Amino acid sequence: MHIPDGLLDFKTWGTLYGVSGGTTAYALYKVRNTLDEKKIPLLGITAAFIFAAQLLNFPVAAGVSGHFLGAMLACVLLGPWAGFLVMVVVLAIQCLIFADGGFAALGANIFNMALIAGPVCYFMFAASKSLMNKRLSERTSLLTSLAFFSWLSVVLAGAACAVELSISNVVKLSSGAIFGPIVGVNAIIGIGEAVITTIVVAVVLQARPDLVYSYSGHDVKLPLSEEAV
Amino acid sequence: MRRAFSRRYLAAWALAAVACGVLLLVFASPWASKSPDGVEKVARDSGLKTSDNAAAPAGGYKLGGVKSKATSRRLSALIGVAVTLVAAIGVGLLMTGLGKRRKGAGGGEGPRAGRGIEGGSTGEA
Repeated sequence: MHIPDGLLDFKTWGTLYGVSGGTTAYALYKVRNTLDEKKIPLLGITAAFIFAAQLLNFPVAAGVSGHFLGAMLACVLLGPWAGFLVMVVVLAIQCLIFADGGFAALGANIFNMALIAGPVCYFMFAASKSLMNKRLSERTSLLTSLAFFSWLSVVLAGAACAVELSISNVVKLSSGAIFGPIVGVNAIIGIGEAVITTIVVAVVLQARPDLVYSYSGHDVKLPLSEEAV
Repeated sequence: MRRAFSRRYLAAWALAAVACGVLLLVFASPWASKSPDGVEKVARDSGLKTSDNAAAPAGGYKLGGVKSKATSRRLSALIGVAVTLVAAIGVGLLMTGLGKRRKGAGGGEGPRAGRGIEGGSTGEA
């Protein structure tokens, strides 16, 4: 889903550089006041995991491939803004060292894959989780919402990408020729995204629920000895 | 005490998981699908000339001087994972360092405050 250079026109990539730059500054500001020092190793491991997973393209349809995105995973584990920053680190390294995604398009790529797929989807996920939590356990609400919104994150990131290509007059294509391949393909990739994200978070919830940012654990009855602490 | 033990246990578990992941990556990366993704396909079909960041030292996950494509990709994967790990931890350290210095101004943290952030702080914020 990394946009190369030469597809977006100046007004599109320029605007998106501004939006992504501003959001990065805001995320740095938020994280600087709230990031727990103990979360730093998790920050590193999550970023490295996402970088590695994004390398493994799998075939989706005839002649088209896709890869894991990881923005929702990062946000649920670390919080929306630290998760956003993790994605910015991954995308910047892909662009600057490995030329994966264009340099002029970096702002657009951050907008699609870090902001839309990250905090934008995260806040919808959080709303859905707290609605479901009125009837269901927090664990069930979290994992069910996560499965859906991690799927949606890939679809929305793809849709944003398609919109950007469409409004860039550089591409003289009917919108059908853009939306079909990008959004259609991403609806399939999203299934893989949902499966991987949900399994990883379910495993972490089992082993160390305290490492999952969006899990408060209020509905868990602790044994007396631990409750006293 | 129980907590310290479980933390060490988890650290070992996480290290093992990371080691497995890296091994898998090193073996699997040359076999990743080479087909274009949705965006690349649209770009190819449009016939427009696209370009990559020409200044990137390892563009397209290829390393100069390494003949084998598979080796080149495996090494790129390893380097990329290591650089990402260090960069993200660096951002984290920078951020908590800045936060600490702020709180440190109100007293308390003393010598630990602001550790290791000189130079980078103005550039990042």
